[in-house]
Amino acid sequence: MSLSNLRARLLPSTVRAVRVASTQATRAKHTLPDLPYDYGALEPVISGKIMELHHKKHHQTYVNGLNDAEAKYAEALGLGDVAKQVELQALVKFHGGGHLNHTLFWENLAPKSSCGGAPPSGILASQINKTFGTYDAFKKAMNAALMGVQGSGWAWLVKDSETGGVGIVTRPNQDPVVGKLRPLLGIDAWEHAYYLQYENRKAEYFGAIWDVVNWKAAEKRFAA
Amino acid sequence: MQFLQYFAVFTQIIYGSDNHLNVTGSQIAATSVDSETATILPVDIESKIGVDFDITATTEVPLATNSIIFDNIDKTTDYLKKFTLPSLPYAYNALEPYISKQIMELHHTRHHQAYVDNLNAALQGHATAFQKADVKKQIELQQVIKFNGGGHINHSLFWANLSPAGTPAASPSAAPQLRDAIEERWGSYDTFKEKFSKALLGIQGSGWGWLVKDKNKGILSIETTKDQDPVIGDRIPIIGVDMWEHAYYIQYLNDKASYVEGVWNIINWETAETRFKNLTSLYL
Ligand SMILES: [Fe+2]
Ligand SMILES: [Fe+2]
Repeated sequence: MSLSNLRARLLPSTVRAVRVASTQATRAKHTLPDLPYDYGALEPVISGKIMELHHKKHHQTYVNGLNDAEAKYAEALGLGDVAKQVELQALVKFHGGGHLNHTLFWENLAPKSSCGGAPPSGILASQINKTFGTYDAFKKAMNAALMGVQGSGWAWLVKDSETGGVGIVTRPNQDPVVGKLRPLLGIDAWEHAYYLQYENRKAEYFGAIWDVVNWKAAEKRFAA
Repeated sequence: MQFLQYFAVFTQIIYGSDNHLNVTGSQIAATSVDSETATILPVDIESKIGVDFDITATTEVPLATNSIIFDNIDKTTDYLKKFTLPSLPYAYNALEPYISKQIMELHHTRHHQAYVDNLNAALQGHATAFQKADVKKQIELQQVIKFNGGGHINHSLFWANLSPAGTPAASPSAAPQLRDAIEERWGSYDTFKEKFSKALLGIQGSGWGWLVKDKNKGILSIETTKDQDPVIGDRIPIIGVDMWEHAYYIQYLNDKASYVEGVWNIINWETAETRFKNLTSLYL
């Protein structure tokens, strides 16, 4: 199942749920995507150990949790058990969100030796300047949003699909960006994303991560 | 004093007659400041070990002014009580091998200290906003008070409901009345343990798991709260377990099930029994 299908699934739509049920027999399981770089490639900004655990353990757990929740959901659909379906939606949202978010996150990063850290260009750059003034002002605003996450969550640069403008939003836990907002660039503010290296000094992590941000990926999403 | 009381009621921060901090619910989500990276005030740990565990201790230490939103507020609120980091009732390495010294040290001197500093700063900012009749600012600060006040309450409860493994307090037999009530409620201690562990592992994101007692009905239940939401109202927290990743990550990495399994060896059942029996003394 593609990410866009999964995102569609997270919308509360009975119609979609029925359609999913009809394709249950042929539905492929979600799998952990490969990283487009080595675990150590983002050092010293993000240690190889963090990347390996984050990808192999945390992301894999979301993939497993999503497959498990979907299998149970299919069963509940088959039985016509609506209460069970509603109960399982929270798990689909959490694990599905975790899978979506981390998949987007890995693509959002790149080693410095590739294009990591090179500032945004083209229309996305002008939209960022239009909203925030400068790229530096945008980074400052994004870091403030990240610092303001109380508990676990993410901050995103998003595109409003109706106006074409960009803005910053935060989401708690693994809630994904859905609906008219399109995620362009997400930063993981869960403690597992930085704790082994930065401990409680999360401002340092948020400050450093810009050196490995892949703006090419964000530009591609903006144009899509 | 009259003004303080009026202020306290208005802000829903109640300084009860027993001087315990009680942050009530119904605080509105607005904005937030970071609690994890505050400037850390020097803490003389050695001199504090063994000192009475008192989360209400006051201090002359000046408030941290690290939070950007408080920088422009003049500080004319001398009557405000300032919360301080409580000392741990055991050494940082005393909970090993279940919780490492490094975790305990970071958790206490960095994380908990940041909640204390940001709570003090938020209360001060709120008092100033109150004096200026700036309602928007007061509402904005409610969520900051809830988060950091909750963080201070929760961690204070947590330290006190842990005890080194092998000590008499770490055995459930130190809580005869509570144990009876647990068996009555869940059939057996093992069933309770299993249910509590499952609740802890089911938390999505950061949060806490609690054994609570309903003040009016006396009924025990297992609850979880998100982020730093404290247990409030008619529910008395008996045992709290921190399920934020910072509570275990350095030692257990993503294996939070092993952390939960480990924590059962270091629960302070004496504290739990006291909280269970003494319904008025919520936070000590
Ligand atoms: Fe993550
Ligand atoms: Fe904590």
